[in-house]
Amino acid sequence: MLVFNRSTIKKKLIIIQTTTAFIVVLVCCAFFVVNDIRTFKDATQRQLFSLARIVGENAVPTLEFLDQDAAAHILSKLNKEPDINEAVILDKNGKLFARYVHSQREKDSLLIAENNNATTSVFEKKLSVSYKIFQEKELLGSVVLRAELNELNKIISGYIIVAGIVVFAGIITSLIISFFLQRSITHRLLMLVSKTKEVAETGNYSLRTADRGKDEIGILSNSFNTMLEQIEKMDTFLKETNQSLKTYSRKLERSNKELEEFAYISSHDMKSPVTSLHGMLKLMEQKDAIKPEHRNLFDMASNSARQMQKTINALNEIIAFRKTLKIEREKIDLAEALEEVKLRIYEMIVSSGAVITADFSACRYVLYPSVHLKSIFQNLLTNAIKYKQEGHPPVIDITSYVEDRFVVLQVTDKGMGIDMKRYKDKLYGLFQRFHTNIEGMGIGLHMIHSIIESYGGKIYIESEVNQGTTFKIYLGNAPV
Amino acid sequence: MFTLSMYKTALLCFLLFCSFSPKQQKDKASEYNLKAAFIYNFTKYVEWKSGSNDNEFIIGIIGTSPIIDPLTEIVKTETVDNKKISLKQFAKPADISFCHILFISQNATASLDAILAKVANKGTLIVGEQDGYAEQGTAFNFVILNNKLKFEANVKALNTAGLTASSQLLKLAIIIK
Repeated sequence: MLVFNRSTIKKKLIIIQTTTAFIVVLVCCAFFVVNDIRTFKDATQRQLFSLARIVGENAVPTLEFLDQDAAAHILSKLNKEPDINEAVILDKNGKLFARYVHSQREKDSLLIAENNNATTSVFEKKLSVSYKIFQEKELLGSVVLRAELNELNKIISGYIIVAGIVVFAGIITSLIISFFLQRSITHRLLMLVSKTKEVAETGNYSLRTADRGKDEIGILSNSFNTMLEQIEKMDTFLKETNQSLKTYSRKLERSNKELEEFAYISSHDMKSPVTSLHGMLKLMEQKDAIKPEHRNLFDMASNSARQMQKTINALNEIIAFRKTLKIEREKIDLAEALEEVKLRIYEMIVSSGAVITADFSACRYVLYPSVHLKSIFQNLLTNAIKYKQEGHPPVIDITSYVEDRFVVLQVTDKGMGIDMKRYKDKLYGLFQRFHTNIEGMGIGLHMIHSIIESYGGKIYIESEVNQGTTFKIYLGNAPV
Repeated sequence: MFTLSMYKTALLCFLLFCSFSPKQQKDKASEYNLKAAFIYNFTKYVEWKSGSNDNEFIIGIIGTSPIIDPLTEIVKTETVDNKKISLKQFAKPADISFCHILFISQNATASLDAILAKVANKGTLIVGEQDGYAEQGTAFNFVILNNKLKFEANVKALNTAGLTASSQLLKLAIIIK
């Protein structure tokens, strides 16, 4: 069975057909042989019976006149029948009246049991026939003939030879037929298989199978073709969509660049007028050109001018930063980078009394543009110091580790925290402020986010109000 | 002592006699049973010319014979060609009237010739039971050969009596010419 399961469909089909043919022919042969033997035996039995009848009719006077010699004489005529082993005439009381035994066979072993009518097997060679002799409804006696079917062996062996030849011829024929017939199945299946392989290997969905049969394989081929058609359609659709998306994204990029350029130019162009406006206002103040009753109005104008200058400065900063994105990565020692940033904001740290601890033992190096990494550090540190809890010095803890091929920077502070429910969607927006009471431009997180995204990283923030904030920054590939 | 032995011998002889006599009687009875059956069976294999007295089949016996008892038994139940069988006993040849079968008992005192003369050409099957009767002109004659009952057949006598015996029957008979 294991061999059968492992063999190819071609072999399986041949095995199935041949086995079926073998069984069918064998069963037919067995049926005919048994039937013929039975017919032969029936005919022999009838023959024997008529023989017994003739003998019986002839033996009537011998029984009537008790002439055993004459009866034996009649029985002796049976020596022309080679199959008859023994013949007996019994009188009406069942007593032996006359007996004949075939001369060449042993006489002792032959003894007829009268009720030998039990059904015997088809291949039983011994036959026994009994005929009751009546004379005018009066039982005179009976004739019993016992025969041995010597020809049966010959007939059976002949049948076996013929049956063997028929079975052999049947198997050969079925092999030949199945060899030709199975081509119409396996050949087509193999074609289908090779086509499937070709499609899988080349990715060419325009291929089609050529099978046009109406059977299950034809249906399979048809479905396969339909499937290929659908896949091809989807494939072209995807390609077209992809193409248009690419075009669209190129357009978007271009317009984005133009917008950036526009923002840069306008912010740059606005910078000097605003600066001069600011200077003018300062001059006016120094020259006491403001009437006391207009002092209020002047202050408001002065504030607005200062606000505008700040905004324009921030804008310029952002634009300048964006221009620096997409620069080469280099191997950076995280501890060194942190020290440098700490130096930059030394005054801020000292005045706030911030406690900064750092542990880069799990991952010390990262491949990243140095400017941006320092920018990330700086923004995170300044944020943490700015948004510390009232009355407590800021406590900042920095660690690094590797997770999923990413170098992760984890920065935890015990500051004011951010109301995540409220600001979740606005965290990285430009000019978004979450704590209006503290001076800020709302560009720090936006910058960090822009940097991280442009290098294929991500950022997660966990925070609770008045508890602190944890930034998890997935920078990018771990260093070599 | 002597008288005792004499008595003993006498007793033995008596016992011997007693034991023999019934056996002989028994043999005799079975012999005549067979003879009666044979006579009845002859009717199945012999053809009579259709003649007078066709409404019954007559079996005649001349002389006294133990065959009468068994024959009477057969006659009670059997028929010949659907005709009833009747028995007739004759003392002497002159008494003989028509019968299909005439059995001559060995006790018959009349001479065979006289009997034959009386029934000649009348279609009567004559059956004897004494040696040489067949040669002398009876159609059938019972003989005992090797302790078995057989019968002789005189074909010529059968023919002159106008009877036909089946070949099957004649096969079993000892043919006398």
